[in-house]
Amino acid sequence: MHEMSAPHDSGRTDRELVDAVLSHKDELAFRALYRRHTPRLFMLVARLLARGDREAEDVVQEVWIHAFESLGRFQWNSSFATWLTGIGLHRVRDRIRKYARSREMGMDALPEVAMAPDPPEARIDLERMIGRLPDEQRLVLVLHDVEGMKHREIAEHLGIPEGTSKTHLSNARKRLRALMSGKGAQT
Amino acid sequence: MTDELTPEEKEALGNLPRERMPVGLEARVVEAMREHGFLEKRRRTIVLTGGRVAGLVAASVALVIGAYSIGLHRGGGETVVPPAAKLMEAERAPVDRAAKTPPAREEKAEGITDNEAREAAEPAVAEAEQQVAPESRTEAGKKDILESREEKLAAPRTRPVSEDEARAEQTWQARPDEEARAQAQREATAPPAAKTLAPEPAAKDAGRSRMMTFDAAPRVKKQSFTFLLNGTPLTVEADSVRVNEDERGRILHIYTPDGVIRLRLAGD
Repeated sequence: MHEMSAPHDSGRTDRELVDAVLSHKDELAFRALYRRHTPRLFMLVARLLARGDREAEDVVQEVWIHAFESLGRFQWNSSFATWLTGIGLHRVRDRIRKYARSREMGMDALPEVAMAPDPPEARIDLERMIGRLPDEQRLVLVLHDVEGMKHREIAEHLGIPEGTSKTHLSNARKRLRALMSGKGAQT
Repeated sequence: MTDELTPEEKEALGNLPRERMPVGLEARVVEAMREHGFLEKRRRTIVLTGGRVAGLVAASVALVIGAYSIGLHRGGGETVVPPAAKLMEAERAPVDRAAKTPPAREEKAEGITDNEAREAAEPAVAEAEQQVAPESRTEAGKKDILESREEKLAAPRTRPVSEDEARAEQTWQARPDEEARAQAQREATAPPAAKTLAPEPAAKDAGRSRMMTFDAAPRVKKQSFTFLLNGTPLTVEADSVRVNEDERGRILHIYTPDGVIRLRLAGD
């Protein structure tokens, strides 16, 4: 369900709205697009990043800017939502790489994947458990088990082999079960 | 344990929310889009409702009435004096102030003889000349005033004028000594309390004060001045006239609402 637009734009397709933005710099058309696609995009980005809403908001803003910067290359062979999701995944991957580099340099102040046992009330919080998975495992698990993507699509979006995607998924599920059972298992 | 999800696990993952609208992000993104030039710059649109139109009309009417009232209050409905003529007013203010003696004083002055009046007027005339603004006490300024008084602007008036017109003209024109003396007489015979209205401590302040007094005084739009041009009378309608002198001779300045006419006087 992608519809969350203003009533006056409910009858316009994504392409019509995009054309209105490109040709007339139509703010209302952009707002309609934004309201239609941002809720899903934001939820996905926030879940994949697992670094809080502020980080996710920054990424979503970057996604919209980048989307309109590169709309000239978009051929409309896929839906606008899919294309937007692709940009979002690309941005998330870049961010996660940046976090990884920061960690290697000992500069990452962001929360690391939890190794300590969780308090009992948090064990039922599936969302939090997903957030505690290692980045690469979390990405694959969310895209496959929550978003319903195939390994081929995941591999394409994340720039990894399909086999690696399958391995990450397997490890992610094991770890998630361990976290949910309170064992704090490590792979 | 297999890698496959159990039905409970699938259900739990399937029940996770898929959408969430971030609060306050829309305005930020729209602004960022605007900064990048993808959206038009913000334009403020004012919708004219009935109430706003009524308010605008009311404000316009109030503005017009206010301006009209101020105009009536300050100008008395008369025409505006050109700047050049105002400068002349400042120079002649002390003498003119004597002309503004209330009519009651004039009636009092009628009861005295000419000699008594002249003697009484001497100090007032002297005081008036003392209070001429410093800038007009230069040689040229003094000469202007003296000339204008002595020559009575080249020729006598030919048409009869009413008493009001004459008084008003005295406000704007240089007068012969007789007139100045008569005015001074009236001031001299006025009650002391009235005389104390005039004194100013400094010449500059005095000039400014006199200018304000002039603004409030009744004004005459135009007056007729008659000159003898090669023996032929020439009548000119103007606000005022004035004679100045430079190295080449004397120049007659005729101040009209449309501008100043300068005539070089030959044969001096």
